[in-house]
Amino acid sequence: MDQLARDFAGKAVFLFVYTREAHPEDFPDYPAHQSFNQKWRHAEALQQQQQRTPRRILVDNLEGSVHRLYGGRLNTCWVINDKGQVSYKSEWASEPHLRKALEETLCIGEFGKPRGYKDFYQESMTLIEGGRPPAVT
Amino acid sequence: MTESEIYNYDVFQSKAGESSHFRSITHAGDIAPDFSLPSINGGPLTLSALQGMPVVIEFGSIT
Repeated sequence: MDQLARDFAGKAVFLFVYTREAHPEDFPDYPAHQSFNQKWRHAEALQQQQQRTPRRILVDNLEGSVHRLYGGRLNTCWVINDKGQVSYKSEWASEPHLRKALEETLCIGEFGKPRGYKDFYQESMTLIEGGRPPAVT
Repeated sequence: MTESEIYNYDVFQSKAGESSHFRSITHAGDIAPDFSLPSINGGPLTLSALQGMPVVIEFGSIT
């Protein structure tokens, strides 16, 4: 995702919203959050791991209010167009699919119907190749 | 259990109906729900203040 953010620098803003820990049982250094300060420290650790990430890291509250407002699923991804509308939402943050959706958000204003794709659920405002997943070439 | 204890599980849980819930909320073409959150890069950030440029929002954690 960092490369995508670099490729679209100056054309789109990239945000990463820090949620609950997805797999605290597998990472003893990053247990389930007991406090907002702990969650903040984990977000800082993520930033240190991705030292040059061009994405802004935001920290949700302990109850995950914003995360739940956006469905509460882990690793989901949304694109909001310049008018504040959802132009794309996906159950999984797939870089090639997101790249395609972002290109379309920037270039095409045509509305399309919500579509379910084969690999994971996505919706887009644009009509994409007759409902098939966007080409990832 | 408190709301935060339910949300912050100790062991990964994939809840039934999560996917259908995700599909049922805020659709493509809808105005995105606004929010304001603190950023570890400095200062709070409000989604609606970013209008004029597309915004990519990813939800996740270090684990």
